[in-house]
Amino acid sequence: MFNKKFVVKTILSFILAAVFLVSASTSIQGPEIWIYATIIGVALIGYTVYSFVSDKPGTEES
Amino acid sequence: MLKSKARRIELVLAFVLFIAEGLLYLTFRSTELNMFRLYEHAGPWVDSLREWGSGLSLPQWVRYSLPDGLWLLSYLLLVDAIWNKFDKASFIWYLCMPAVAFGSELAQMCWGFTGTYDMMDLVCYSAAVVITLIIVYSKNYIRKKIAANV
Repeated sequence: MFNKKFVVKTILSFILAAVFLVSASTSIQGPEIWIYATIIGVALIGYTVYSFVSDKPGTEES
Repeated sequence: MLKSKARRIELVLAFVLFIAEGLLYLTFRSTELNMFRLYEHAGPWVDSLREWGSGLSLPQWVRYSLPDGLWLLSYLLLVDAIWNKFDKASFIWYLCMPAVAFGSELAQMCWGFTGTYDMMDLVCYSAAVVITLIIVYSKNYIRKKIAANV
């Protein structure tokens, strides 16, 4: 349905984004960044799910 | 060959930049930051590092803005190492962390978001994006040139 390379790259990117969001949250004083990080995180989860169920991005060889 | 070599260079550079960013934070930034809770049990090396750093006279932007730029550049290099090109499938991953960086800075300026708005932060973020664009376009240019010669 979609190529393996695309799935691996998407999962790696998702983990990378999560790690960098957590690292950003440690470089401030308050917990407010979690509101922002949650919005970005939900958007990324949504995009990841969308790209997995939609064959459009996955069919491209990258 | 070029692809894997460029990828290796990007990975090494990204990790070096990420570590440098972390060390700059640990050395020069307020101990009120969340990260210092993680380093409470790290031993005396953080205190030694901060003591050593207190003797250095670095410009303000190196202490407060450069780490943010290094953080973003490190992320963008890692994304580029993973995807190797900017296209429909990868653009969201290239854009998400710059969105966090610029968005949080603008939120600090407009809505009093936690942190201090600093123009130099935006300059360092922009520099990270420009450096990444140069790397991405240089790689594309070299790739096309090699393909044309084959």
